[in-house]
Amino acid sequence: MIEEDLVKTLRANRPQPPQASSSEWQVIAARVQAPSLWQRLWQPWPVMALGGALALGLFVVAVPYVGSEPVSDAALAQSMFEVSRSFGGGALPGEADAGKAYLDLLDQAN
Amino acid sequence: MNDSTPLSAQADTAARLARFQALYESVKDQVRRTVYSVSGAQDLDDIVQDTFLKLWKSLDSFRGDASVRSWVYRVTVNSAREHWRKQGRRRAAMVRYLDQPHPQSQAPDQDAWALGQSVAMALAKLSDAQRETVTLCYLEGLNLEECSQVLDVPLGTVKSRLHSARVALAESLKSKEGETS
Repeated sequence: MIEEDLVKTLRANRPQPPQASSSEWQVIAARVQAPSLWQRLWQPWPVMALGGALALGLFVVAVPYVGSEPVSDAALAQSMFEVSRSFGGGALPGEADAGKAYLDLLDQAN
Repeated sequence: MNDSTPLSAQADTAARLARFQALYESVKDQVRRTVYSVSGAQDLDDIVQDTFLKLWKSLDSFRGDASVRSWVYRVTVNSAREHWRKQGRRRAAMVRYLDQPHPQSQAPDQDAWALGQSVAMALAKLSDAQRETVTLCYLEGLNLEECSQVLDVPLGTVKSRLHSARVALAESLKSKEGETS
């Protein structure tokens, strides 16, 4: 079959796609105008909520130390250890011992 | 778009959307035909929509170096490729392509129906690269240079793909002719 004949046959008998839905443009227009995830998050209330949570967290962490005496390394390590344990940290066998051994070492150094 | 968007931004978006709708109206058939020829009926609507989303995103970056037609073909072919790469089921799609009852099957002319089926099957048997090339050069009528730009391959590659596709198509169609006669 020569090229021209082949092309003619293909063009005349090419598979035709099913009709597009009449609402295709509406669907596309809605999709192109939909805000991205970043745009959705970058709204006043999520930003304010995130900022508020950060400020509260900072307040909770910082307030006990405001105006207090400088803490020793040992006390700091002790409190960090306690906090870590209260959040479930140091629960693995051996970790508590290692923490205590570290505190003992600090006590000796002081 | 929400109420907090400045009016000028809303007007810009509306103007851009109007421009895009004009583009959609002028190329929607081209996109649909091309996707269907390249990858069959499965997920046709999804791929067409993805193509228009990509066109929307690159609407401002289109500098007019290529013709609008070539640009649309390029985005269309890439969308179809990307879709099936993500889905990883191109082969399954082509099997469905073969099973798809084409509109010719409703035609009263049995010969036309048979020839339509033969063409669909012959196209389905080609490799993806050959089918893309045949779709653009033979079915859509792009010249070799345009085809090479759209597919982002050298001119020689387009020619060699067309040659091998021609041999395969002629063989498929001939064997179908033999079966029916």
